[in-house]
Amino acid sequence: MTRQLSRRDFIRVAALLSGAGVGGLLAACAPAPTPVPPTQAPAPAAPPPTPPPKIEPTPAAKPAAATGAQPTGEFVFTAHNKIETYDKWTDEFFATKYPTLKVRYDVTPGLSEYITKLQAQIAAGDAIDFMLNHESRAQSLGFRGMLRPLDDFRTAKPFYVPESELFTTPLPLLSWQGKVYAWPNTFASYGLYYNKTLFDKGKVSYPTDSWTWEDLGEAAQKLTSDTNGDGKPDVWGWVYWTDPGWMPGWYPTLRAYGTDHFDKDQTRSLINEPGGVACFQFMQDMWCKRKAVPPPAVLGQLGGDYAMFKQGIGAMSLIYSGAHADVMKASKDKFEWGIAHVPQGPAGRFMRVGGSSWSIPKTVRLPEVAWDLLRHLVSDVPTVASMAAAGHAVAHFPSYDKHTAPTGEIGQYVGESWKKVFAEGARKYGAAVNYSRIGVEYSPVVGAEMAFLADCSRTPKQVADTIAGKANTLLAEAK
Amino acid sequence: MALSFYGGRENASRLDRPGRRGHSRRERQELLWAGLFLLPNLLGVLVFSVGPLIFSLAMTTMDWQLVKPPSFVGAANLGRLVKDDVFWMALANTITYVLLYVPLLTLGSFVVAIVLDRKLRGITLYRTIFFMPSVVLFVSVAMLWQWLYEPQNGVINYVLGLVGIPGPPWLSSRLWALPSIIVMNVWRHAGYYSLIFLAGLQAIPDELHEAAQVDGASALQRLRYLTIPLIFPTTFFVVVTSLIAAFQLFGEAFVMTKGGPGYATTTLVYYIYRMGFEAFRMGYAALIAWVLFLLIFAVTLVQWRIARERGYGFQE
Repeated sequence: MTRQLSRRDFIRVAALLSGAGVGGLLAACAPAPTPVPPTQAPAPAAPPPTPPPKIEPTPAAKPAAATGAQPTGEFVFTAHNKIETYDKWTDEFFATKYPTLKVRYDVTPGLSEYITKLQAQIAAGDAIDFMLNHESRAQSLGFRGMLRPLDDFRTAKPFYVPESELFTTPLPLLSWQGKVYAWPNTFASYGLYYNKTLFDKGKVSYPTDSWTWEDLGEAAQKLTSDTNGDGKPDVWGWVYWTDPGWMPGWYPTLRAYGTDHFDKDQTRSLINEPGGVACFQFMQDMWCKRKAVPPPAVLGQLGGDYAMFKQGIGAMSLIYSGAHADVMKASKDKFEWGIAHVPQGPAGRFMRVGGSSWSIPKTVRLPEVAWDLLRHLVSDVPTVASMAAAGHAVAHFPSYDKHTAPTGEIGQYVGESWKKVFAEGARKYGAAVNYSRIGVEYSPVVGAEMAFLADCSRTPKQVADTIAGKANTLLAEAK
Repeated sequence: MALSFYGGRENASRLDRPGRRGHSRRERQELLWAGLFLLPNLLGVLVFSVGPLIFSLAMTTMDWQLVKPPSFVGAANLGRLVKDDVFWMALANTITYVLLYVPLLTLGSFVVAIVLDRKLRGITLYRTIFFMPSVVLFVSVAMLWQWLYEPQNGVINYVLGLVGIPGPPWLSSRLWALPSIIVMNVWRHAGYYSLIFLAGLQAIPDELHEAAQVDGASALQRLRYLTIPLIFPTTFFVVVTSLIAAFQLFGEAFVMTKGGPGYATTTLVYYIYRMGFEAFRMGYAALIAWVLFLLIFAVTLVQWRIARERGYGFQE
């Protein structure tokens, strides 16, 4: 009796069995037929981003308590930080309007990691109802077809307040082909904070409304000093650009020197135009010639720009509008401080505004609920007023002005300058960063290239040309 | 050639008996059972290795962003690759890492193994201590070394400062970031590979050393002419495995430096991740993965050839 098996026999049997096995496996893994959620039409050829149409004053309607048939199951809310889920107000909203729904907060720390995971989830068809978005990614996620446009929702169920009361400056940059893909949820703006005590010690005049970036550079150089005689500066004139790749950090400077990242139609990069090179030259001079700002590594190790300012070892920094109470507390009995306009440049004054936004992903299970939540968190006046009172820079101007402005002791200390810079100035000079439809890829490119500017190993022109070259390639590919 | 499932109990192959076609019922049953027992493994290989391999090869000719159907782009990804300076930097970084890490690790592990081969009091404890880094969770190791490398308050720069050397910002300097990762990884893996070397060293019979000693060979000569040649198979194993692992450097670049500063620690695998999961260029990422595969394959082939010429391992 023979029990030998030829190679051919073996392969035949193995192939047969494996084929059957794979077939069975595939059949088992095949998705069950499920109703496909309505999605936007596939994008035709790409015209430039256009400002979305304004949908004007709408009757304010307080969200009513739950009535009728209620959606059930889980409502998935994704974010990259817990704070911006506004969980207290979100939970209240669901408890009142959709008590049968259970909210699941899926928080992935780190913007980059969050967006990476989110894209994979959306691509895999995971049900995600609501997401915290960011200005740097919103347009490109919309362009890639990962988000649902908000326009139809906006028309069918308008905000509770007129849109003129809402922060809409970044809307064109959160839109693609005339469709809005994200709605601003914060009105973040950054003004110039300065340490009066250090200015007085250095005998340098305080910043004025006519200050240019060059004036800031000169002052910063004078204010940088080695107080303990170890040959290294321990007080810095300018503490900023902890991460030079963080584009909002130098966007006001870029615009002030007369250029932007891209042209209006997003057909080419403008970063290597004279204004862009001048901006990079200013920055590199601050690191390498004036040595008035710590190198990013040192800044990072010392806790970052904001921490250094609060410690009283940084004379100037650009700081967030809602930071006054924190700065007041930190400076108590240590130093005096003030707030001034962001410096201007040859092309004028620009103030970085923007921040996070809300979006509804393509794989939303409960789109109507998602929109209801969005407009509630953005425009339900008692809710946004409560958020503002809790220290959030809400995107509803009346609530922001009323609740974010410093009051009491801080109001007496910097109230007027805060109002001039953050209430009036932000609306007058506010500019949202133009990340474009290639933002997801463009941001890391800029991040990597700016390291060469900061360590002075490449000239501003070289860095600008490299960024522009890569950006133009990405733009050409992103049709 | 016949393939026997029964370990030589049978001598005659079916092919040796002309005129007989097909199998008996029993043979067919045995074939079926053999196949069934092999099925789980075969399925695993097909679904998780062969399938993705073929799929990824097809992907190299496609533009696929996952949310939209893939479109055939022919050699466009290849054209992009050739012009992509970040890819070339990633390739250069990967090769630099391999060229520095593998010799340092091999040498370091060997030296540690020689030290641990001594008959000392508490040697088991020392061996455990050296082995510990390789069982510690990688992220913990990365955090620990980030603190050690901290320019202002880190232990390394503090110690350097004591002898008057100003330490650089290790992880945020384009010059030092990659060497910093190399040093950390040598520390992390030396314990594991030294155990392999230790096993090799202990397999050398004491009589050989004694004979050489009687012949008047010094310790250095015994190391040069006895130990090193005799542990060549172990060295070969260490080099092959560490080299393949080195080509796949990712976690360190991801956790500690995010591929920076600039592109100083962007390696091929990190770039694959970025292209695939950040930029969602799956086709392009697949192409880079194939380049990496071919690179590792070529290097491994060369190693096999060297080993065969020396008469060690992988004999046919």
